[in-house]
Amino acid sequence: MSALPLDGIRVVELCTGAAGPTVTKCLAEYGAEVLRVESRRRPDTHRGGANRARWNKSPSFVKLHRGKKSVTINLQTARGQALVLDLIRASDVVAENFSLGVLDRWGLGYERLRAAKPEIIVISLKGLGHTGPHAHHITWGPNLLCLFGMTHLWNFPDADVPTQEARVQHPDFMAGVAGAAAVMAALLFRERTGKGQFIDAAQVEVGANLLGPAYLDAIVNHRDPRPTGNRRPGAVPHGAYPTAEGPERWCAISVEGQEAWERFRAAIGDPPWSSDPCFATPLSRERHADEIDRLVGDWSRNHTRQQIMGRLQAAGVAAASIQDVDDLFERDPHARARGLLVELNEPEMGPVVTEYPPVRLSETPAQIRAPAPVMGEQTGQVLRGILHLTEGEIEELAAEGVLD
Amino acid sequence: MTVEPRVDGPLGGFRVLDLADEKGLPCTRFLADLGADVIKVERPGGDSTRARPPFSEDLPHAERSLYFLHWNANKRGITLNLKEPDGQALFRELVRRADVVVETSQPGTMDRRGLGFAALQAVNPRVVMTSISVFGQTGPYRDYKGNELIGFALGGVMALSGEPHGPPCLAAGDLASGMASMHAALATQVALFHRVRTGRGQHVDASVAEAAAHVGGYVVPFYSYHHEKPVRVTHKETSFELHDIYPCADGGVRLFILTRDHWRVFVEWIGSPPELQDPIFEDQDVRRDNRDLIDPYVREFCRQLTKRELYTEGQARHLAVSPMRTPAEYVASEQTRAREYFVEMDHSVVGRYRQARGMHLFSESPAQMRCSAPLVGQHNEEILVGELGLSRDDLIGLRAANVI
Repeated sequence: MSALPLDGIRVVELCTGAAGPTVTKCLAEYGAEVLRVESRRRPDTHRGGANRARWNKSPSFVKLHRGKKSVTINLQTARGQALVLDLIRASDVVAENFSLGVLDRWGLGYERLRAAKPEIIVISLKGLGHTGPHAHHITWGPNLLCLFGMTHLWNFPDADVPTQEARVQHPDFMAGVAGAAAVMAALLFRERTGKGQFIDAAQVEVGANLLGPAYLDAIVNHRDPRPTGNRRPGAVPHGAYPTAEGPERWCAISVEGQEAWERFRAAIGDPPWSSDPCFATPLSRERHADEIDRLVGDWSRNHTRQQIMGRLQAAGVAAASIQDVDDLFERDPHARARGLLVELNEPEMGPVVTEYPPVRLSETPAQIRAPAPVMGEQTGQVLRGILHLTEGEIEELAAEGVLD
Repeated sequence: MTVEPRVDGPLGGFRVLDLADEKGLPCTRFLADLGADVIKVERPGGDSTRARPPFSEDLPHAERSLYFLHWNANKRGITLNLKEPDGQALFRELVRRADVVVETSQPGTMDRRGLGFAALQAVNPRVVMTSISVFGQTGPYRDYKGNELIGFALGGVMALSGEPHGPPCLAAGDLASGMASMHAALATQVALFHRVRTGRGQHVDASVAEAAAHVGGYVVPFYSYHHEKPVRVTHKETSFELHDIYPCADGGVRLFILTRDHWRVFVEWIGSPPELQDPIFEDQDVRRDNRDLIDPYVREFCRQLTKRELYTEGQARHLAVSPMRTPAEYVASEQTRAREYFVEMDHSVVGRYRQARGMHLFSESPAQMRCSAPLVGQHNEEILVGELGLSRDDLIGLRAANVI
């Protein structure tokens, strides 16, 4: 285990769900020590929810909490709140995403934390942010996708029902990574000024940032943007095409510009239709996009995804297999070569695979230093090591129900 | 003309040279929003992303791309032809005074121009170079052609979107590139943090295809642990949260009914149908198995109310209910206005308009919307003459040689 840039940075996590935990997961990958404060009384969904038999056996928990320490403290008790405040005094960053007002009720609001430790950096993630008439709304990732227009736009133009995007918890994950980036900016600022700060993060505003051009279309051109499916201006064909492998195995092809079109034609064997003057120029192809999609599908249907990707890429044409998760595991030589999938040995689950960050630093590459902790795994270690409590004090706290 | 150092925001004082296209624009906009002095370096005539729609008044013109306008706010801009030796030499001069270079070219391109990481480090050992590409700087697919579609296809998420037996659907808003950019913004700042201690920069290699694997949910750990491959499902999905889109009087609405308490409140809200009163339905698994029984009640209830009624009444009961909005509806929403997410700006061609501010609100170092996207070569004189010490005659010569 070599040194990492955030070695020595300590983070207290007061989070449920995915967005907040993703902030601290990202910081842990670069060396931060993350103390996840959790509770046996109110276990979060990813821990396994109310059913104890599911605890420590949740694949989603491994993805969200690998490399962290679990400290079980009952935040409903005054002594529990005081213990957490002591941990925060010994820390650099707090990440929280409980419902609006919960931390204030526990006496752990920003003003209190700042009084206890002026240079503390607090990131507070809420679905809709800290202020405004809807700040208290209950929102999960799929709700947010609806609120900022993503569900509306992530679809085919002629569809009569919304498409199936709900499996994607965006913007939880993106808000998590962006939140970690915001914390890094605050750490760099603290490095130069000695000042901490409070970061108000609305998940909906992170997700919405990617749709900025669509909002500008509405604001500047007074038009409400419609879904465009797999079409993008300037590229025909561009989208998903059937393959010989069956109804659920598709490939992606993108042909942008005249040179790519000529290379594409040659790569698929110059079929007679491809020299039709109707398809000769980018403009004419845009006008006949439906027909080209059909003809390209007639070709792709006779080949496997690997054949299509291999043949078109060899000709310098952008193409890929639309991979399922089993492809990522079993048929993706690139992912294997770059080490995208990382196996951890979880205490009560055995081997579980999660994704390495999609970025490599030449000097200080991210490390996944430990599996996800079982409930309360490091409670004693943290209280002894950081707060210097004795065994007797710890036993007393446990007996009083302060340690959860 | 002298340049005032820009100190707004937590990254005030850091300088970034921005060579990014679609894959990296969210990264450089993020850094600019936090106060970094981001200099967009475009080819003479302007960057290719100026051709991306939508355009103000639907007029395709380099200064009217709303795509470009969104992603390049808060930046300055110069033109420089990096294929020409004079352009390369001037770029190296800029690197001498910069902290970060963000580039998104096909791997190997920067090396061919004498601007690879080793060359830049020779000029400025402190520089952090961040490369964002579809496949990354290593691995068997490194030299393949790609874009957002190709990266998204490989990541395992696209296969899960769209209707069963129909084509997978590409997400709006270049989601995979956005995720790669957030990871890149995080890693870039981690490298800057590391530099505080070591004085040395490093090379950051981010991949859009890998980022696509991070957009989604938990399919990788689920597959490795349960050996279950997720498939696309119909809108009668066997999920207990009822998170489909339900048609209502004037559009669609999404619910997310997760806990026991949510379910009880929800049943009461929809009029306590006798068939749903059985406490057995409080169990998530029972709800999942009885989806066909539950669904018609939900459907009938939603059909009778408007989006606004369902949103207001659901949230008043602390239920995660959200309307399916269009982009224009998001722009106009109360919460968005109250948080001043869209900020009034002025642009010499587009005029007065509003656009999305940065993602986060910082208490101690508030970053502000400082300026609209630069015009082509707007800051050539300010930077090339004012900082690098060229003369106006030099500029004329460089213009004639198509360097600026």
